[in-house]
Amino acid sequence: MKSITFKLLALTVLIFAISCKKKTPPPEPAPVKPEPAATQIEEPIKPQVEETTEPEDLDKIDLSHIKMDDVYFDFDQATLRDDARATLNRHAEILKANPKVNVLIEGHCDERGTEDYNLALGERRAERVRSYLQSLGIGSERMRTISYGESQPKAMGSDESAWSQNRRAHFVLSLR
Amino acid sequence: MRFLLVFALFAVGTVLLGQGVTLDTIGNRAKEKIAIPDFELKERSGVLNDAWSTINEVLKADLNYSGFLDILPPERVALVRSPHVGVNFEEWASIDAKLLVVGSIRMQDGQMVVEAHLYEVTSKQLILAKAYRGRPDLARKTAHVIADDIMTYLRNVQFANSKIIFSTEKATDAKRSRMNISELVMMDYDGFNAIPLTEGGVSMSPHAVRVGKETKLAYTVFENPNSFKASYGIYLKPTLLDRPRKLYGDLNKRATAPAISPDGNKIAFSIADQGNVDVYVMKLDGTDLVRITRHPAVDTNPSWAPGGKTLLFTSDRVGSPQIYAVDADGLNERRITYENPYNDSAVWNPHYDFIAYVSRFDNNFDIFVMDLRTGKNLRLTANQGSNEEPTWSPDGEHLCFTSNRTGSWQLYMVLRNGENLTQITRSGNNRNPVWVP
Repeated sequence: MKSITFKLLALTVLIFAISCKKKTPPPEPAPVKPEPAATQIEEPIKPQVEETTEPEDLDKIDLSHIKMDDVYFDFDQATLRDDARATLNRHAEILKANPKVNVLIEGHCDERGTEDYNLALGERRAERVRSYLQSLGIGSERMRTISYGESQPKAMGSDESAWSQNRRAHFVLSLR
Repeated sequence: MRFLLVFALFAVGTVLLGQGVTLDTIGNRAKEKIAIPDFELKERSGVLNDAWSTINEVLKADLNYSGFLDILPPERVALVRSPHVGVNFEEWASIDAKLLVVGSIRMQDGQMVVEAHLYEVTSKQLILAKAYRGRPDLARKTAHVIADDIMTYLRNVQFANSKIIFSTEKATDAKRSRMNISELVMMDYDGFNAIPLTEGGVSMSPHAVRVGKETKLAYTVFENPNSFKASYGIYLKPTLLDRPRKLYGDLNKRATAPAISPDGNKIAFSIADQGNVDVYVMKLDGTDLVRITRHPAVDTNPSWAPGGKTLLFTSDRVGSPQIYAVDADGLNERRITYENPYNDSAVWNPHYDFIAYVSRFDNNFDIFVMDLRTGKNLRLTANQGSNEEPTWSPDGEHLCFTSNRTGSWQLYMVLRNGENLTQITRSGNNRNPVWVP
């Protein structure tokens, strides 16, 4: 009788410690449930993870975690600068590591020049980037290009610091 | 013009002006002094008073914009007795008037009747007399018709009833992380009576020609902006009342920079195919696509010479944009501009062998006119922001262009000798003007 009361008391203290600040701990041993429940949860999780094979796993890729920086161009030029090539080399590794990710390459220009000429210039910039990535082994079926010309500046303002930010190729990712 | 019924028409005398319009693009042209006393208001009523003041104002503005007439100021005109009691040519000659317009306005059978008489003071002759009947609320239009009749008689030119189609941007996002809405608008050449031609979406680069009574309009639409399926292509309205139909362009062959041929049968435009932009021509029904340029560089912004046998376009094949000409069959390509490293937006004058184009200086663009026979260039703008996208008036005497000199893109017009610069629009951001008869 004594030992039972002791055990009950010990359990209550334990539960009290676990369940942390339950104001009126009921004297009955109902709160015993949490402990087995905890072990029950751990066991079924593993098989579930193994069951969800690759396709579902890939759906969980959060594209916002893949960061592909813009690459920049000189005024009225579509040639890839050294810094652009270095950035694109990293992009190629990212795309190789994520074979189910497709990329839209957007060509942009600064505000100087006519809209139609800048649309054409943006096309050339996007295409240069696309062909460079292709030369690094990225399949052409994974890439699309578009030009926005001067219509979507990244930086507002009419000076070189804004313009140099706006002469760029931007990358938009999507899952196949 | 159906609502304006010309019911009397007679012309007396001879035209002394108008012989051999000088093609000299540089320097001032001699102007004829013209007196335009206020028209006689034969009866008073609210609507008629409004129409009267509108006609007085608009007629003077139109004739002033013509560039070959010098409107005598009201204080000079006030020195002479009213012409409505009788025209005394000696008195008009005494204030140096070479021409005199005398008009009147009255109501008849519920309609406004405007009479206009044009006198040549030096020969003391009535050289043009016409009467116009219409609704009083069409006073502005009536004044434009009178102005066009006078200009046609004096110089065989007219522009007062012409329209300007342009794109106007509506900011949807101050930071422009998404593409702004851009709609097409048509207005009178002087900025009045603006009406929308498209609604919502991103429409730009309009080009239009007038064939008979119909205006054919082609323009670029940016489709699915800010998405993986972003693209752009060319749409056509066979008449302004028709629904637009897609003429060319898909995800992989995007198209822009439309230019309809002067006869309205063909369209030149550029196609971006795997990053290479070239000029193409096809029939306006979408058949017979012909590639005009074959160069890995950018070739775009085509425009037609008045006869439809030659195209101008911009190419950066020498490393920076320059203007080239090519026969409409793709042969006989030749370079037109050499003087500055960055030239674009060439448009051929509808009557003369002049082209207008833009040239870059530092970070701004200015409007130039080149006489193709002599190669001489005239700079029309300088040190006033960026000035782009010139378009010729139907009479070939004026240019409309867009400038950001006030901090936003607004439309301006100017005589081809650089005089009479006038701001036409004042709000929003307005670009891509095209001037149609």
